[in-house]
Amino acid sequence: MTPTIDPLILLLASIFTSNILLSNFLGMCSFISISKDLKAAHGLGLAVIVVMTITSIINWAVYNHILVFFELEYLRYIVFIIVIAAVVQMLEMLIERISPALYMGLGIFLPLITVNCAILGVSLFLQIRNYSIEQSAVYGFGSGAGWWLAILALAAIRKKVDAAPVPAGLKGPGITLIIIGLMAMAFMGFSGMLNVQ
Amino acid sequence: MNLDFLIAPLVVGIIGTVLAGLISLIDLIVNNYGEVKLSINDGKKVVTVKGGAPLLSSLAEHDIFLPSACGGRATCGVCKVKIKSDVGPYLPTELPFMTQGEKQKNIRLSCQVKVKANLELEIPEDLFAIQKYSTTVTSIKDLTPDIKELKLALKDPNQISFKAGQYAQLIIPPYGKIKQFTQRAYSISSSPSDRTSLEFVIRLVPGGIATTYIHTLLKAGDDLELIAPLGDFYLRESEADMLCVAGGSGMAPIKSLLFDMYEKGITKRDVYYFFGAGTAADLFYIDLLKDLEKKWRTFHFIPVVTQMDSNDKWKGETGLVTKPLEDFLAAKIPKQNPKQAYLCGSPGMIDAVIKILTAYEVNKDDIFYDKFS
Amino acid sequence: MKMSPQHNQAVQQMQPGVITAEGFLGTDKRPLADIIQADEEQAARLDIEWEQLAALLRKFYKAGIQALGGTIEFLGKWNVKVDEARGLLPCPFKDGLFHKHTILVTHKPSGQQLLFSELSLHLLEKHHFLQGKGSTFRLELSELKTVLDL
Repeated sequence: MTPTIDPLILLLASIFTSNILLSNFLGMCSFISISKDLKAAHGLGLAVIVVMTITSIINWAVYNHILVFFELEYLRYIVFIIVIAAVVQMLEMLIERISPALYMGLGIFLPLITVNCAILGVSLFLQIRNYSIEQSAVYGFGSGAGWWLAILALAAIRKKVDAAPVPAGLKGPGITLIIIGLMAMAFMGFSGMLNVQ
Repeated sequence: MNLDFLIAPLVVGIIGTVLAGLISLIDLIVNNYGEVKLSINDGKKVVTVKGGAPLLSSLAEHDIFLPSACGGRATCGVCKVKIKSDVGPYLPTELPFMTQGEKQKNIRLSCQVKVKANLELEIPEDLFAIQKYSTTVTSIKDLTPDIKELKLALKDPNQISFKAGQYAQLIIPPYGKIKQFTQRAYSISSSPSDRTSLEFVIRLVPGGIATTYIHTLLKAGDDLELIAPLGDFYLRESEADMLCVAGGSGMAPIKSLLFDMYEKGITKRDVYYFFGAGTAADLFYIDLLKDLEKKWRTFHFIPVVTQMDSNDKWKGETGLVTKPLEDFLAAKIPKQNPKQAYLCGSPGMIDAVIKILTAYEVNKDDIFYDKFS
Repeated sequence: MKMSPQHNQAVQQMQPGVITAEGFLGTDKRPLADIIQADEEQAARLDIEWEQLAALLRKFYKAGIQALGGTIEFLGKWNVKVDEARGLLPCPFKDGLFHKHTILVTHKPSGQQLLFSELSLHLLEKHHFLQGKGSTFRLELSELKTVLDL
């Protein structure tokens, strides 16, 4: 059964109340490692938005029109990953040709996204929650935007913390994890405000 | 028979194939830059190349060889070229080699810039003379425990013209565990009057890809390819006194310069050649140059040994090569004479010599050097 | 010790013919991380500080380069000779370019010798990597201790 959720509500929900990073803790590795630098975080965030939107639409189509038809739903993990990897490859080539400046900006982050679990997570969520194609597109874009917002926020906070007197043992990943925990708790306040399924 | 089990692999296979097909299709369309025109020096020469490859190799296909000591791996920083068209921002691989001034003039590393559209370049005219030569090794012999003299006979083309002091880029083929071609630059030590063969002086560098090959594997009769002539270290016409300083295998271009001058009869200038080596065993070509000194009245050869072994019979100068240079400048070479200096050796030696020369009021523009860096 | 992707990439760069003719690993079959760990443990046993060791070797290098290719006496006890060749070598861990300078230190009382390069110095200082056993530029901590009189 496709849930009846207004796409606008779904967009807001995926960005704020059900932020993929801070409520589902997906895409953590790059979240922690890239948030050291605000500019890089911004580049990676943009790349995530683009890839997430495109892969959620394609994966929706592949799942509902191919896998369901052949009764091969159990293959979704493998197929989703193949699709994500291929989309990233194609995007990389296209961006290099169309906008070398953007390509330089994204740099290594674009190929890195292939293994970002938030991307796979989004594709799996929309299948579990039985979203329609419009809902999938909105949810994919919203989750990407949410991820971008979260990593920018963390990068900004870390910049501030760099100048703060942190105990030696907590420097680097330690304090970062604590910050993420606090951010997640703050976002917890939103939970239940908007329904996603 | 129930073939249901085939459906899953088939579906995954087909999805994979379709995606792979899409990728190669996009690759074909996106990465096909078609034919691209490179216009050199305001259209004096225009070559058409297939787009997508690095500029260095695209030019090499048309026999325009930019100097490159590492062969396109962004480690030597020699293959710089001025690009007038916009080719995008500097790559991180280029930045370590660029000065602020070079960045303003949009000088780029040609091995890193990919040719994607029509480009306008500026290349020094001299570089058009650069060609690839195939040669045969005629002899390799020991000069010191770690320096060998390599003689090559040119095959195709079978003649070369170069200025004394210039260098060649030897192309070392893959050998042993080394899977790719390696290019390294060595100064030519023979005189330009010999147009059919080239001579090099090569010191073994521990772990060096090219020098290990030349010292241990290469033998007379083998084929070797090279690109020449390169470099802007050569004799400048002048009446000034000439000071040459070299260390170790830095002998090569100076030897070529001196014999070229003698053969052409440029023998009126006073020439002083200070040659430094570690111990007496590291000296070479001493008899050859002493001979030249006898025949050429205004040429003075001063070999220097840094350290004496107890069993050395060395009777000449000892200490750093800079010591006799300072002595000569202070006492033997008239102060008022204009001077020109030609240096070849390690950066440390060259920096030290330049310091002394400037202290004795030699103009910086009259100091020419070939640094090993 | 777990091999990180950086380690795996570095190992590829360390193969013969990629950066230098014989590579950085010699005949050592151990994983890179194990080589580094073994040396780190030995350094701790011998009470050697990596930064201090690097600073000391750098002093020899700085002194030797003054001799312009010749041999120079250093602090009465050592002879130092620095050879320079044209070009730069990249670090296999991809964090810098280094001159092809090789430094030969001779401990006069014992006659023992030590060979290292500007790149070895960087590998020692930044990566605690003394190269694989059997490599020309392998530095043995026990030998360093005797040659440098630590």
